[in-house]
Amino acid sequence: MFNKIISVLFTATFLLITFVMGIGTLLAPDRKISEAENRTLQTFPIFSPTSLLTGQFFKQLNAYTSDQLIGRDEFVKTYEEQQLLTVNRATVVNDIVVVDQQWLLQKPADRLYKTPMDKALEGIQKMKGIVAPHRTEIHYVSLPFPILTLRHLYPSYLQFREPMQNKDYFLTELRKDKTIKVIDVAEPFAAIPEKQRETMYFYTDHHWNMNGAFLGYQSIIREVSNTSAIFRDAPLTENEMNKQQLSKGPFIGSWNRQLNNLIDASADRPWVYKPKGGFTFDQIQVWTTEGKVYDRLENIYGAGIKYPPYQYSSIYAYDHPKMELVNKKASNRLHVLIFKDSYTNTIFPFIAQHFYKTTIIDLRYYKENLEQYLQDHPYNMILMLYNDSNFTTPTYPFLK
Amino acid sequence: MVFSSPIFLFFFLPLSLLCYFFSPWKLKNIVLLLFSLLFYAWGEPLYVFLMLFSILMNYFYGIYLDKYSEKTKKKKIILWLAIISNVLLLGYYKYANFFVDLINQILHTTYTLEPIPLPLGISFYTFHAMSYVIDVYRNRNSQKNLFDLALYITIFPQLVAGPIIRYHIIEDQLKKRKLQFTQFAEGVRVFIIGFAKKTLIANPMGLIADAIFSKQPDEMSTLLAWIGIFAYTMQIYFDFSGYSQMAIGLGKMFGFEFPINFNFPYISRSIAEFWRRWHMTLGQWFRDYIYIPLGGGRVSEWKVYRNLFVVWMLTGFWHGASWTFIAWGLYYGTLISIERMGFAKVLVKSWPPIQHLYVIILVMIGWVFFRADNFPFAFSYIQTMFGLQDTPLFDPQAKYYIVQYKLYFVAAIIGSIPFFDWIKEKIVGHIPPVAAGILSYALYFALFIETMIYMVTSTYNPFIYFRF
Repeated sequence: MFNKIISVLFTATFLLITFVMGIGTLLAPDRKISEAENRTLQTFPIFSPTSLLTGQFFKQLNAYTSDQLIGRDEFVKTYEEQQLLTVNRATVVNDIVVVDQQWLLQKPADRLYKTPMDKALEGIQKMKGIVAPHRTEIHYVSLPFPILTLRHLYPSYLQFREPMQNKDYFLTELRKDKTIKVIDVAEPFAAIPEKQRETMYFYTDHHWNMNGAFLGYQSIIREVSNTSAIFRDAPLTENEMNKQQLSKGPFIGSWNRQLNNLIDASADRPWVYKPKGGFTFDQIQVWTTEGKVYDRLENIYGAGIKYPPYQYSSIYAYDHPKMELVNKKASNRLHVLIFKDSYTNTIFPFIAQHFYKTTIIDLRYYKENLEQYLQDHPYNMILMLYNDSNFTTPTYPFLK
Repeated sequence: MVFSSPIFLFFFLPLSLLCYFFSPWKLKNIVLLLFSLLFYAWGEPLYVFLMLFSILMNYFYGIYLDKYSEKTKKKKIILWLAIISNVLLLGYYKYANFFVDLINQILHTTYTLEPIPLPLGISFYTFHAMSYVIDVYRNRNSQKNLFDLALYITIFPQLVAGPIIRYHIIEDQLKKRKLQFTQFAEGVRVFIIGFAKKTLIANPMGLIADAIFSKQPDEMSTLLAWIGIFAYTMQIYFDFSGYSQMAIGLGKMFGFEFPINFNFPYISRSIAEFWRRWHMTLGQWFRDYIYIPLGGGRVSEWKVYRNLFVVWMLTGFWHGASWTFIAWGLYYGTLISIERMGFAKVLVKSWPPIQHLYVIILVMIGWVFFRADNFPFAFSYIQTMFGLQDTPLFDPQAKYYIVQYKLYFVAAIIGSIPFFDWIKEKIVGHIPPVAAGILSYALYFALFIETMIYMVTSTYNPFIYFRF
């Protein structure tokens, strides 16, 4: 008799769980976006005979039930909390390294990405070929990412050699072309003591903070000046800056967002720098991914300073397909094109101050024909600004 | 659709159970058949018609075998026609590209063939179909009801990845089966264990194996190579046995009893024993339909070894259309032959830990060939495993995997031995049945919820045996 009762209990509980999850998911309103994953969620797929026969309808339905499952975020959060319970000094949760329950760092690459890197190098050579008739000077600037610059924070078993091997391979191959000037901003960073270097990055975000970014900007201008035949200038100094620390409102770092903000980020207090006399741009045009066009710097740089909670993109700038800034007070008449990733979002106005006209393109979102654009728009200089764990993404020319 | 996915667990399964249990007895098989076809079409909307063609073809073969049951010659011709048709069907989709490449290599020709997509589960349902016609030939009654035959071949718990169920085992259950709470509850328990094995152990082990096997063998340390193959050894066991258990559990929920497919193979003390515990239904199929018809062990000595090599070559080939799979099969054929020649007698006298070590090391070496895409990679990997390359013994990545995944490794080792059966034996009888029942209930559902957490968290959850 008792066996039968237990059997009924097993049966009823199993059916209850499976039915409640299914019915609950169907009844709950669909969510459009996952904040933690930073992506849009699959909505109910559109049915058509073609999508049915190709299997596309079923694939999308699978994605829909996964994305819209009731309690999904709570399940994921529970998983992450369980993983964090096992932290001694460091643990890896969803490819994010949690160190001392304070630092969140990217899990280092564990292999050489030679083939994708070769593709990126080919893209650069293709770009170089297209702009050759314009006699454009090309500079590749490698910006320091925490994996290498804060390597000392990783436990010994996560100090893989592959990230440095990938960087060495890429820069060595690039340097074989003597016409491309390669600058490694990590070199001046390496000279700074470890504890001081830690103050240059966010604890819970994959970017540098303004301390590190400003030093990076200064190194860029200095090194480009040293290597360029057409550009000479000195960077702005910290004394010329108005500095503001954002002390109110939480900071939501990119890594912490992926961990459902489980890490205490109260120590992440962003800094914002602005030149004492303000930026001196005569003309600004920014095309956004939504198709809007802005013409004021305050709409696209530091637009979210007064509206916590803060994110890197709201304090500094979002990634936009194209920006153009004109500074007639620059000491030259150079037109410069910048290809970049999000590391440049902190410092692009500072860099643009040094040139007559600066065009900044984020190739992830740029929809026009790049080859045609480069043919039709002569530039005196191209600056490629990428962090040194980014050698293979669509931020590189002709890699989409 | 995989069993360990939200769409199956929370939508397909509840709906199929609801429709099945609320339909009258006469219609239950049809309901289950429709859901099975939907399950298959979910992954392969067009190839469901190929499967229906295979069912229809074998249905008529069965009818004609019955019709000519007294006429031996005609019956044999029909049997051979049936076998050849099924083999050709499987051969075209699974092996045509392989044979074209082989012809080009041997004859130095340049024939080309567009890659032919491999329909999901074709190896499994073709073997089911052949089992049916062979059993009818061997004087089982043919299935007059086309829908019941279709159900035998397509029943979704075992459709895409087994266990391979011989027709004579399930024949009576198609017509007569009971639906009982005790059987359903047992099905739930078996399903939960299979679900946990797949999601909590196989998937993390798979991540490790994939990461390590994506590196070149001469870029990893000896320890990392061992960690990689250990992870794969655990992945393939927990993946496959977990899926089989989910299939068996689901079968019980619908009133069917399927045979078990794995019996703790990693505790074996000989290779022969390993294959009596690993993918048992496949081994039984080859034994009953290939090995024994060839004469089995009852022929002259050289023929026995011939029979073993044929079976093991086919076993390897069944797993995949490549030389590495054939080599893997022949590797086991060789080992089993060596044991048969007399090494088994030496082995049985050895200290048991040596016997276990012998099996586990040889099995892990075999898995290198199974996992590798080509021979150079496999050989290079084995060289690294045994320190025969210019690579360090140890590197930070090896330590990383040990530190990060130590709990999973321990769980995998414990799960691959009958530890919980042993614990259960010790406990049952020493605690009151009510307490045992409640404890069991609590533990199973704690495991189920934890596995659901992992399932929801993971976004990528393939089942590696889908393309066989």
